[in-house]
Amino acid sequence: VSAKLDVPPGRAKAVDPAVDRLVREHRWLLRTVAIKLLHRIGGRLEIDDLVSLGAGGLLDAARTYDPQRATFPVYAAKKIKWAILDGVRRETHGRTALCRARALAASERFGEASADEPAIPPTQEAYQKRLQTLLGGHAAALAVGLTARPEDPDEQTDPAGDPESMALRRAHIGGLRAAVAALPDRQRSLIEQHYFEDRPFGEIALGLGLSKSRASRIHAQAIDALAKALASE
Amino acid sequence: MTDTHLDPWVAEQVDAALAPYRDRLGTEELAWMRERLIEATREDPELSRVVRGAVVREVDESGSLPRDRQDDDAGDKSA
Repeated sequence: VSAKLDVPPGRAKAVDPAVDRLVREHRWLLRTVAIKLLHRIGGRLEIDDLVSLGAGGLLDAARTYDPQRATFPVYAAKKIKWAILDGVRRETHGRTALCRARALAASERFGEASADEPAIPPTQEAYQKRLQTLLGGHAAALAVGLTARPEDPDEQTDPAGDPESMALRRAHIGGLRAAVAALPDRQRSLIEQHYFEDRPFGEIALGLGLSKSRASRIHAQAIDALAKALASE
Repeated sequence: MTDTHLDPWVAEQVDAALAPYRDRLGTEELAWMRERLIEATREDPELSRVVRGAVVREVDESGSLPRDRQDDDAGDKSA
């Protein structure tokens, strides 16, 4: 099976033999990443759907790989993961899968930006404080991804939701929207557009005149701030 | 659940991180978030590195950092 077969529609063009070789030699990664994400997302997803969604990520990885920065499997696994999460968000796989994909993407984005933070002093106390900050951020990212989304009239009358939990959820979303409204302008704009208006992250970064990595750092700062605001309510 | 061999102190930190959401989200969502946080302490490169440095252990009388933590710190400096 060659890389040509994995080129998404509209992107078919001659494939570099080196790219083709990387794709062929690492096709196993598609299934590995897909199985892991299937376990995390659950719902009505099928493994073959996820493999198919991830194929574009593997091809992108082969095309843009820089051996100076990481091993190919590590680099490609990330690209495949993002391709699958974006694909699940884009396509209809049920509300649970959509919310979980959004939450995983939010946590992943927060984690990637956090790796660029300055070094901390080598003391156990400093590590413990950093751990609390990181876990608080990942928890906030997951909660934002699970719950912050465009208004959904169906959700207000979800027959599966009992009145008490629906009331708690509405209160949480109200608190979250208030915390987002209190963020500095760029952080607020990024969070609102991405989570409440469901716009793609790269498109928002472009609109705000930011590189994707800079936008990811601003996203991480916003998530940190939301974690603190929600914890103090 | 993915609690197998989970350090109890790390489990406490995970539960503390989830505390703000306890009365706001459903039990299924909270359980799913807890699983993801535990996975992240093992699989997210930065988080797992910080967990290794933070986890409560017996302290060497010399006050030296454990070997793996010294390696992490060397990594911090070269980053």
